[in-house]
Amino acid sequence: MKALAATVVKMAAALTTVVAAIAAMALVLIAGAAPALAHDQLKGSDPAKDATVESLDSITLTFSAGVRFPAMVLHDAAGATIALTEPEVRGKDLVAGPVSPPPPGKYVIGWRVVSSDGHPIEGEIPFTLAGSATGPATDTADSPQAGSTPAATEPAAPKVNPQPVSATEEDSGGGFLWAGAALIVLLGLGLFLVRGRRTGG
Amino acid sequence: MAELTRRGLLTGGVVAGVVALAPAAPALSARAAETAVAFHGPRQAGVATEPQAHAVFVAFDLRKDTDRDALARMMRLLTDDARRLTQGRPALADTEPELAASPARLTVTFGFGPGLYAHADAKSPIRPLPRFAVDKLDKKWSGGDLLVQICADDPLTVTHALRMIVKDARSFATVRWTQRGFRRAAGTQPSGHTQRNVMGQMDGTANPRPGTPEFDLAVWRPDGTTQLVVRRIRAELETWDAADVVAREFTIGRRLSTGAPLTGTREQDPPDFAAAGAHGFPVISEYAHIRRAHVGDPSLRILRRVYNYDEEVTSQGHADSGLVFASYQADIERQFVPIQKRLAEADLLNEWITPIGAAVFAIPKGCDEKGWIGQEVLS
Repeated sequence: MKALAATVVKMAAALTTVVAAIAAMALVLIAGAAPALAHDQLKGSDPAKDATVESLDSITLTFSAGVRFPAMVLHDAAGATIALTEPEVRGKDLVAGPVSPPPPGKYVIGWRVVSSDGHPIEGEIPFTLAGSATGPATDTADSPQAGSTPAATEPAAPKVNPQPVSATEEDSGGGFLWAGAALIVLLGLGLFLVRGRRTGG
Repeated sequence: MAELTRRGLLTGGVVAGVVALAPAAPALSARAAETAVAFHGPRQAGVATEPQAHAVFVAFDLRKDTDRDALARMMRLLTDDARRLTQGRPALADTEPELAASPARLTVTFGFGPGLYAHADAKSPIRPLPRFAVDKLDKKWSGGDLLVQICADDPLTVTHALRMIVKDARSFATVRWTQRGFRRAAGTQPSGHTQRNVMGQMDGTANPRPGTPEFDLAVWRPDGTTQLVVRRIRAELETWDAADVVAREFTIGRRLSTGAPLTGTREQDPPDFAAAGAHGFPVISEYAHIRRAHVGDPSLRILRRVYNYDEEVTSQGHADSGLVFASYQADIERQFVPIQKRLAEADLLNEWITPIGAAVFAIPKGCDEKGWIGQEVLS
């Protein structure tokens, strides 16, 4: 019993050391990555990523802080650009809307803003607009194929990604953070193994 | 008696010094000639001259009684000083003639502010800049009736020339402001290399190249004059330090390392403003500094001839650094103002820079051995 208790105590001590080491390294890494952590992030959107909505009167992106120099585009499944109103910053929200109601279909919102620390962030939000073709698009009812009506869509924009990408947000700072986290885990594991071998011997 | 002895010793010393210097004089003037920039010519030196390492810009307010005749007397005096000093010769009544021996590419360039033309009862070819939204101008760094730009590769040469010019101008004018600036020391970079500013950015990549027709069109007027804008731009280094490389490069539209546009690989690659990234947004942002400052027509570009400044550090360790922005262009209203308007409207860089001073000057044409700067305006 005594031997078992001693082993438990030793293991607990080893664990404490490892936890402390990980915490210390995490602090160092976080301090080093401070500018990256300071970037604003997209917290949510309406329409949400991959959502199906019944109508599209406006698009609202909500960030972790007020952003600057906003840009927003809306593409349909064919990659054509749907005209949007000038995106407007309202507190932490960025709001824009289609100039005229688009027909049902698959769409992608592309956005780029400048974070409060000057770092640009951008991403895409795919979503589906449901509803019957004769529903919201009543004003173009005289056209049998509202989606291909020139009035509803502008000429295809150059260099638009036709495939809606699954990633909703890309930020060069993100990769760095993941690498940092992986490093912490690896270092912690290594320390734990070394420490375990020593206490074992 | 002691006084007399001391004076006698002093006089003796000066005489001995002159005697000792005399044999070395030919060697000195030979070296000075090598580093002298010609003063005479149809255009003033210090504009197309490759920027020297050190500069001081000094602006004067004319005294109330400095009329057209007095201005002519003043400019004859100052021209004579500049003519001598730039060629390695002491100014008249130079109190430290030894300091004139090494001109180190010294140029002395004169500019006339709108106020000088008023004193001379002449029509000013320039007018003060409009107020830009980003400006937080301080009178301390703005305006002025007369400007003298003194540049050399040696800071002591600059100091000496400044002292001579100011002493001769004092009876006609008071000093309004003095702005000192520096670039990389002479010889530390190959000739024609773009220098960096205190924010680490390459500065002057898109400048017209002296000796090209584009340069002559953008900078000179047919009569040999040009126009100068001097703005003091404070760099907000404390917050700039918090911006990462991606933010900094996005802000400018160029790589910090090479100065290449984000769409290219070398500094002189033309930026591709139409190039779009994965989400369809332009690689060089709509609000990037190089897009906002870009001028397609070569004749509408400006010549940036800028100097860094770095003044006292505060007790809290904060820098007082930035740019003595000096640009030469044939027509301020046609060339500089539209660019600055676009930058003031929306330039990502505005987050980290604050214009705190502004002044404009017409640069009269050059003169020959018998003439003086400003003669065509004042005589």
